[in-house]
Amino acid sequence: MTLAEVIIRLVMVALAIGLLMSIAPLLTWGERKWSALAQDRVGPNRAAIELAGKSITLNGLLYPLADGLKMIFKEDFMPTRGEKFLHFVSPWLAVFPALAVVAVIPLGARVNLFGHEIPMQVADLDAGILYLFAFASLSVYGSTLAGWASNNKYGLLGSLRTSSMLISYEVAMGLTLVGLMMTVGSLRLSDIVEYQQGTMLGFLPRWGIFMQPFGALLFFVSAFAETKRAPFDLPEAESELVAGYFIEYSGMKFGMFYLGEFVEVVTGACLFAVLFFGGWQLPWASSEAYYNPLVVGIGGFISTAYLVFFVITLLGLPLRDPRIQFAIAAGGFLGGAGLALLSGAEGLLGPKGGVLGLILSNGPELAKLLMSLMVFTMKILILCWFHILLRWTYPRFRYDQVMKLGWKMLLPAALVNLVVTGIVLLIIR
Amino acid sequence: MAESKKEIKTYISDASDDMTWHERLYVPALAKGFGVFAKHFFRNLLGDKEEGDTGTIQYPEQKIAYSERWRGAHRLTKRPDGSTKCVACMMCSTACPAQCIHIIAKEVDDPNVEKAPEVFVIDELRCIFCGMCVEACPKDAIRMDTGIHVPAMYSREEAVWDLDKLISNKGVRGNV
Ligand code: SF4
Ligand code: SF4
Repeated sequence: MTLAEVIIRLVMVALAIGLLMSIAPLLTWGERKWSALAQDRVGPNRAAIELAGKSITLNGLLYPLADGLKMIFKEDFMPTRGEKFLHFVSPWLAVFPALAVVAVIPLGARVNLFGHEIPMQVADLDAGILYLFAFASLSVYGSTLAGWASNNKYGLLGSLRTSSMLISYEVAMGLTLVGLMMTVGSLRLSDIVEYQQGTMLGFLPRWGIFMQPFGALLFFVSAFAETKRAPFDLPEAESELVAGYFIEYSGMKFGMFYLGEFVEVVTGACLFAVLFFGGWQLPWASSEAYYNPLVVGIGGFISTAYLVFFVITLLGLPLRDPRIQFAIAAGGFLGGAGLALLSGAEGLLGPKGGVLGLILSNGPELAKLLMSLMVFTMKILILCWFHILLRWTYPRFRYDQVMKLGWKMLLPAALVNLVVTGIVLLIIR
Repeated sequence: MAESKKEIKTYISDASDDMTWHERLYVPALAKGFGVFAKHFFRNLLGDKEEGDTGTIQYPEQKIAYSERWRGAHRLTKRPDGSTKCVACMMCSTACPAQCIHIIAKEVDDPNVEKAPEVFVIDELRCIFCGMCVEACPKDAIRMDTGIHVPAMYSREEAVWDLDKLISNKGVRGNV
């Protein structure tokens, strides 16, 4: 490994963790705001910073900050007869696997910048999916040990529920993916994304969700269960177990469980986007389309406009205001035009010298990089939104129903999916 | 005989016995539920609703007007000469279900009045704001139209309002 490679890897680590750690706290607040919207409420809007006599609330955007401050300064309670060491490490055990999962996720297209091959993922493992499963299983330990180490009956019940539920759903989750692995013929996540380019049957994007619609549904349900959020929040069911496995946690340790939950939502969205929504691929287009300035322009328009739209809804600005609509359109236009220019400038102007020339000659690759990152972020945000709205729609299962769903419905359904996929593949090939 | 054969059914597990296969799939119902939820989301996000239309009152900035009959802290009304209208008849303290009005009467030389309160205290912490005292008073001497929420205090003694305090309270719709 050369120095450049090491630097590229480190930048990738920073990028992956940065993406996760910026979306996850935003989601803690987005969840409260979005659920408020869907339930005809206003939602949190009081946390404010006093600046020059005006209080700035940013539509409640300061809540994650205020929450963080509050948690840091809260008493860190430790049950006297608990297991001190495990009580201390289990929040880390809960967060770490969720963070580690992003290492194999391709965040964007592989590009060739300034003479260096840059894969937009921390590690392009051969056995990417196996790595995912390994870390998904590890995340059970955090919550199980947390409940056990706090010497509390509710905590123990919560951790028992966690371990049995997560293990049951992991079986189904693994089996649902076998169909996809068979179709693609690889466990490497970058291969899976590469495979999902172009169209299938003439009119559908060749995305996992269209190749394996049933598998996608099953995977979504089991991945949902893995995040331990309602309707699968049995381990912390507050009406039965008070707070479940983290009942004896306070302060920042509780904050880590809380954050870990949202990190899991984001990694779940990443996984689903990579496996079933084509990762960074544009729909219908092949990955070569990223070199086409027109495609990049249109895609840039849509994704920048979406990101501006997202920020504007975050800030609670009124969308029916013509100025706001103009801002969205203008943002999209700037983004699209900028990317298209970056991508196509050298073709128009011819080769140039100096720094400009260096940037221009790398323009298509740079545009591809930015664009694929934006497309992927957009998919994640939409999936997270969907996930959070689902969580606020459905009531909690009863525990026996969860087990029944896992073992009696998802598992057989996953097996059927596997068999049918096998037969179809045999016929086609 | 037919009665005793009546089957006793216990529903411990599911009510799924009398569900159609369509309902048992759950997925259509789930999708429908999500549809309702998403409809509200987008209506609130994109629609022409103002924040106030959610029915939420942003309290410190916005306040709703109380109704005319709202019962706040008490006051004692005054005659034109400034003395209290109260004649210490004890009707209010008798009517009070919380027994929080305490009156000691004194004699007055004015033959039209004869009696007046020497001490008139209301323990605003014990008061349940039922308004019985106001109903009972034959002289319209006690009213609850001050519009005051009894504030938080540091000691119980502060909550016992005496004659001077009660007379000095103002009514929101003019002082009688
Ligand atoms: S409002 Fe009711 S409880 Fe309060 S002083 Fe009058 S009669 Fe007593
Ligand atoms: S306030 Fe009214 S009811 Fe009470 S003692 Fe005075 S006159 Fe009688």
